[in-house]
Amino acid sequence: MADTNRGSVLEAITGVISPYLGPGMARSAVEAHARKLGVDGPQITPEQIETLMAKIGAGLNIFVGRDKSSAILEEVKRVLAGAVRA
Amino acid sequence: MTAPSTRRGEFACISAIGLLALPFVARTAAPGLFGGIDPRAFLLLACLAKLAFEGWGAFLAHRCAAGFEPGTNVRRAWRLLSLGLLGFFLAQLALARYQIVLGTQSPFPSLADVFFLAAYPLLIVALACFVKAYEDAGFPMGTASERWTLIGLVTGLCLLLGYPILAPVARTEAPLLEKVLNLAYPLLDLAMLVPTAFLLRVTLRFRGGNVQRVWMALLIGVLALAGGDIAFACFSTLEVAQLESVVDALFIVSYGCFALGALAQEDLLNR
Repeated sequence: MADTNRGSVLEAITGVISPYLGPGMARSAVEAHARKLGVDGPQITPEQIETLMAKIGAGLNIFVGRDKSSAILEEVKRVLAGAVRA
Repeated sequence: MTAPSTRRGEFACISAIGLLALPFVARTAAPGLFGGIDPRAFLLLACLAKLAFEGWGAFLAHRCAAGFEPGTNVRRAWRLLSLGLLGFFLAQLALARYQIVLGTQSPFPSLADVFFLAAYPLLIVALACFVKAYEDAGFPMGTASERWTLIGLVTGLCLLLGYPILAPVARTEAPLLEKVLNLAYPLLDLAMLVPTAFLLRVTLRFRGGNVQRVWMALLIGVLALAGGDIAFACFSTLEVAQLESVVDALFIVSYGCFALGALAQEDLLNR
């Protein structure tokens, strides 16, 4: 997979986790993790997306458990794949 | 994407809390309306409502713990919360002998206080484990100075509000053990309010998310518990009779909200 637009990736992840964390916390959690990973340019690499999702998954674990957290991350992957194809 | 929650169980639980607490609130507001009703009916209702919520809450919290990975702070927290609620259940069971079988007010202090006193540290450590879990997962818990400021603010506020209420309790001629217990419960609540303040600070930022359902319920449970303990201290030591129903209403709301929080968490885990 080629590098992708940072904004649309973060927006897609935020959209999937918002029903759980709420839109405000979802946005700030995704932005904070991205910043910590040094993702501040206009593009994001597939490796950075994987690392970012692992961080988000760890955060979700404490609220929804590991199984549900994995299911949510799968949903994120599907949304991202759709976004890339589009 | 997972199916949206029907939240039917939670609405039923909220309705049950409201319906069970309402008679006690009404009895406080308009005692004349209930003059013809045997006071033992209120004792029975309060005792059964508390037992049901405590037992159900302990069971649900135990099931929630099983939904998280072994060795994690969040699993430990739910397990301790379950044990704390079990402690309340056993305490209430000890009181049930008087309130249900004999139809009288239970003595104070009694065997129930052993279980109540054992439950509080479990709940305090449970809340501290939740704070640690939030922190480990990277949620904003504030800088060291912000944390100390929050601890100072909560302690200061509790002392400011608690001193005028509890000082007369400390000065009464009541037996020493009774006085010590009446001061111990609100002080244990104060210890519980510190991690609660941290959790509340983060929880308010979950607005619009399903996670907030769990946390608002649990935190309202803690606040109602603190209110109930302060009201009980005034009721039993200062003999402010009107507070009896307030105490019952607050404890029903508290235990009901603990059960509601666990129910919402179970829904999040399993749906």
